[in-house]
Amino acid sequence: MKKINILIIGLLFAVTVMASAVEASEYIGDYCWNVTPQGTAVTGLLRMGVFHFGADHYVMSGTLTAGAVIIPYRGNMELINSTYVGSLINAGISQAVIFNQNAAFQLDTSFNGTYKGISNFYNTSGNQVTSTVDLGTFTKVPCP
Amino acid sequence: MSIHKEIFMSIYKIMAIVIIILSAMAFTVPDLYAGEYLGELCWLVSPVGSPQTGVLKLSIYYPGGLHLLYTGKMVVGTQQVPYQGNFELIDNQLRGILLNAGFTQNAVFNQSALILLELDTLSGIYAGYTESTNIQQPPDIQYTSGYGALTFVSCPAGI
Repeated sequence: MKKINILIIGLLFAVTVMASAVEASEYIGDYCWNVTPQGTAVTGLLRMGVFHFGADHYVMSGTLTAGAVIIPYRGNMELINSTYVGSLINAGISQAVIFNQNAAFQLDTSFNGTYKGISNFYNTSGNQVTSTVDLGTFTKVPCP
Repeated sequence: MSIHKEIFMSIYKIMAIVIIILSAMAFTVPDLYAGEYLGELCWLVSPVGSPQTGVLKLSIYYPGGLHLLYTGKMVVGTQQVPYQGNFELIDNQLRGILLNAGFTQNAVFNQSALILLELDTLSGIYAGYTESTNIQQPPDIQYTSGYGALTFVSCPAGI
């Protein structure tokens, strides 16, 4: 048996013995939110596939659709004191601009809430970075 | 040989060939693994230059191969900030990326950190930087870096 296989088995054994609250994980479906940036009427649709790791832990992968633009996102969500607290990350490119966004959100038990984040835009032609603070709300809606 | 016996022999030959093909496929198709949730693990986080420690509690998912995914939170005093990331098994170490994002009433921040854990102890080090700003336009982005130790511990009760 290869050494790497022995290490993997040892790691899994150690983690399984040390870990608490082991339970099954499952994909629980796609969920959608209307995204309304503060001070604008523009609304995008955030659609995330949600994977329930176990206990109060969730991992998400999905897209933000704003007009004809579709941007991939990934994120996580933890249930802390009756609030779903999480983060979302994206990265994209638009012509000469490469951008990314890190945002945090807090949702109530109806899955509505607010987000705050930072976006960075790197203009390759001018070799300059500009940033914005992103504020807004998430409103849960049925997925189209 | 009767016509019936020839038909039976042909069927047996076909069945034998199908079984051989299926057996060959079973041994040649890459292993498919459904993945498994391994549970919650905790580390004591000790930043260099700061007396305040925290507890990093991560729930670990094993998708297969040499890969681990996780989501969890950092608990410092009464503050709890969500984290997410991954581990890869490289050279007897678990090497991963730890990401978070959070906000307060007047500020917003995110952090990217590298984690290196020794496989025999599951303890190690981290190093990363934080991007933060007051909530204003244009933002006043500040960057701070930090590093420290991660000590594998039993998860404290109540977090």
